[in-house]
Amino acid sequence: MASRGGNEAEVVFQIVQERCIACGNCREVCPWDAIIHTWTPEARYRTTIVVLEDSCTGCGGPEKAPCVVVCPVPDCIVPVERGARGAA
Amino acid sequence: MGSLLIRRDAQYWGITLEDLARKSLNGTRFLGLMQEVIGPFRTKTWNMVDDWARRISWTDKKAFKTVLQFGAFEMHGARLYNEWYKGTLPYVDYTSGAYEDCLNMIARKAYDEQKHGRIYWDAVLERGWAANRRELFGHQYGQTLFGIKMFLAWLAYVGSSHPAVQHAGDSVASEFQSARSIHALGESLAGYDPIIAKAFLAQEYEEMTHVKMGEYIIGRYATTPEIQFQCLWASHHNLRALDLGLRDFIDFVEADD
Repeated sequence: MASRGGNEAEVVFQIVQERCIACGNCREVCPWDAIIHTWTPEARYRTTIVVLEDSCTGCGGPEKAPCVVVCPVPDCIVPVERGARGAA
Repeated sequence: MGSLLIRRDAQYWGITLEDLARKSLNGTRFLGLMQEVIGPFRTKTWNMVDDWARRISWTDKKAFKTVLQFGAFEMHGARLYNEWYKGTLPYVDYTSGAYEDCLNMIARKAYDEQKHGRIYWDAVLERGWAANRRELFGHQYGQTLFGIKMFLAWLAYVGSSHPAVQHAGDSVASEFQSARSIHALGESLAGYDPIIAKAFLAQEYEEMTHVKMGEYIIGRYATTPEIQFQCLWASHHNLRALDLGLRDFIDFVEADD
């Protein structure tokens, strides 16, 4: 997994677009710069926040991950298995 | 409060203070007049960017330079509009509600520009051109160009004037150009790099919202000939500074360094 720069985490986070309010709190606290503000046609708001799967390390699970801790919306940032994006 | 050092016998776009005093226009009619006189100059500048965007042959380096410069520019914009907020505060009358709308619009504008800055730089991360944001802050291509710095200095200066003058010196002039340039660059980049292109195209709508904010504020508050004359002064210098900044930007992107 050289392309992931030694990032071997198998559980990463995904943002549920139907719940995201695009506040950007998670983006500010991510220590890996793995969360970005971008534009997707399916977003509820016109711009939205997404997790870059290759950069996300999972940060030791939802209890410890800064992005989940600061998110004001319940069940908006959810853990998924790497490669299973879109399942949430 | 907000008095600008303009010679009373000066003329901008061929209009003098006496002309405005004679016409005695309300805000909306003045907005129409201003749009009419600045129209040809706006067209000239946006044609320059449109032509360039049509003929440029994109490379990764050129796209990188473009997106990084736009990101830095928007970040500086957010900082300057926060200063505008302070420039607007003394005008606000909380008993009558006058100018409160200006304050809210400035807050929204500052937030939008900061968001635009991060969308540009996050597109670089998504594209994989940088490992983290710290690299971008210190990158040589992300440092503000001299021409753009002059433009930003202008924005900082006009921020201490009357709210209608602030918006004449930015929203209805350079924001209009900005929306137009973003559209042209987004369309041009779409065939080369969809990730970078969407960062540009996503912002066109909000930039036009800023133009509408400016139109509203001028229409409501540019009601005296003195303020209207300052508006003409502001739009004149704004478009001149923007023209120089954009030329500098195009030279920078095209430079083979």
